[in-house]
Amino acid sequence: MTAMDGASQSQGRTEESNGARQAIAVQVRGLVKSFGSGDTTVTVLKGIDLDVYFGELLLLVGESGGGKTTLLSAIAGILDIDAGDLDVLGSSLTNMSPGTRTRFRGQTMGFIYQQFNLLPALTAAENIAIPLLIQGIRKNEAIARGRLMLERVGLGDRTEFLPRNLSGGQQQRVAIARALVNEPQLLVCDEPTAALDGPNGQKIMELIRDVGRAPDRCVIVVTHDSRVFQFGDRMAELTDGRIVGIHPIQKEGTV
Amino acid sequence: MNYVALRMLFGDRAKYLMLLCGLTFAVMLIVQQGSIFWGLMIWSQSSISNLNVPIWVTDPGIAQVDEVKPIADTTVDRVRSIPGVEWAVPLYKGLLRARLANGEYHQITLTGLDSATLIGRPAEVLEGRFEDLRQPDAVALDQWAVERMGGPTVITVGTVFELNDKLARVVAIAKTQKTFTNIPVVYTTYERALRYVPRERRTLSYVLAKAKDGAPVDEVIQRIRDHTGLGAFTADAFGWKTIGWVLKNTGIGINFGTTIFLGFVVGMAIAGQTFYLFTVENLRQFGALKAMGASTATLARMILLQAFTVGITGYGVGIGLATVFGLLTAQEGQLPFLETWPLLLLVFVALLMICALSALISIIKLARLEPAIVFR
Repeated sequence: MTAMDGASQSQGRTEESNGARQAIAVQVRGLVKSFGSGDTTVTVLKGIDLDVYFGELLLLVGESGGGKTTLLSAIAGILDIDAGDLDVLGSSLTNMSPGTRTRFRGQTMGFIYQQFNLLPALTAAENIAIPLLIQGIRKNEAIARGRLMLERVGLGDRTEFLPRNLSGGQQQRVAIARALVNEPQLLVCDEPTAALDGPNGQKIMELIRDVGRAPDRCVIVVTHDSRVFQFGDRMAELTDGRIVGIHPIQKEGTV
Repeated sequence: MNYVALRMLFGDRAKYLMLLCGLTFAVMLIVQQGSIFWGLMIWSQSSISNLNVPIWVTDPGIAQVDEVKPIADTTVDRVRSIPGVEWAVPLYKGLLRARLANGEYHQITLTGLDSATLIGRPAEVLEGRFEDLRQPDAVALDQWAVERMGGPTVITVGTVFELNDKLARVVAIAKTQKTFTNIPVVYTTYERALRYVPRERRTLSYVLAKAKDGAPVDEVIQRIRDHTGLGAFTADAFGWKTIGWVLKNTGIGINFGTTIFLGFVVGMAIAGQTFYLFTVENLRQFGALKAMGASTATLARMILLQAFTVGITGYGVGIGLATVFGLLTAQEGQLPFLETWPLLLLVFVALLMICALSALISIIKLARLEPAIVFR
């Protein structure tokens, strides 16, 4: 796919989103989150409103400390919020018990981290199998599906490699395969290219765009790396705990 | 997730080996010290078990078997007359000095058995014939006496020595369990024993008895107490009474107890600290697992599986090493070492406690872990 093709497709989806015909995957209303207590309380998110649509790749950008990662954590249901409503994939995270939320995450979400967070003692295929093992799928079947996912991300010949024997880019590919192995509807990525050099970062974003995005799935990526902006459909900019703008991304070569 | 837990455990070899070493050391120390302690306790009541009789009649104020308090000579007949008693025989037990032909003196425990029946004789004879005790001046020794008194070149069957200036001729050497004090035991007949010792108003140390077949032993013992006003015990009860006295009146219990406790604490400290480090170093990974849908209960099961896996491995290795120690150093009864299944069970329970408590520290840490840590 060329940059031009990608840009045209992205813009088309964004317009559909704006046209309200696109189903909403994540709806955030009046989200507030503070840390600390008393005089040391810091309000990191100050009333966030945000919609994320199925089929799109949304970039969360902004200055450091602006609340991007906190917002991502809240949407992913791994951080309790203080106020507001949070509907994810048709379910209200706000009203979910911690146990239900944990199960919900396991069944519907995939995670890609800046530091990969692969288990060092497990092979690439075994690492990918973890979300399936958590869901109770038998080991052999889970690892077999892990091997298939590795082939999808171009590492079919590295199934038995331990993470320490893989390059940073390859480790992130394994992490992407792990995030996708249980076919999640929501893929959350925190600075997925931050630990990678420029070319590897580009490849990883291409991969996230190609395998992560689907009509029944949405991808949210927190990034401050302007080199990967071209891979997003829309960009939400956070500054000082508020969304100061949500823009469709103008791709190189588009008008 | 059990598979993941075990791969995580075995994948970090340095920590796994440290955990294994800590728990193995703890188990080995507890089993080794516990076995020696129990061996010593068994030795402390060897004077009872070596005689292998069911009922002991004693002075009512008796504290332990080696603290002899003589009773009236008529007691034997009084016990024999009690309903339910099949037989009762006298036993002399006292300390005396033996003078060997080479001029050496040795303190010995003189044991005088009923001459007609030789009840209380050791079950196994290594040399000579125990029945020859009925010959003039005849005595029998236990094998520890031979060892303590100079070895088989100095004293053997046929050797003559003096007891209180009276002749004693060795006719048999018997195999017995070592006693706590390891004072040589010299067996002879009851009547001859009284000839060896200085005259006293009372010379009867104990009455050994047996209940008739079918008669309840506890009832017979109670009858003996009621009829004679003396103490009466089963061999087991008298053995435990003696063990209790040793524990109360010597520092053995505290010494061994301290070592065993230290083994527990050291094992706990090493295992707890290593587990905690293991958890802290993998906190991001555990956070990632939580984010991916692993519940705290799942993570707790993983930690417990890791703890018990390494614990049970350490248990096996520790017991193996302690047993090898026992076989190498305690063979032939040179050292008290008695590895019993209750001790092994106790150590297993202690080990489970160590593992559970060590794991608990990590589980608390994981329970409080916010999966959002993975995005920081």
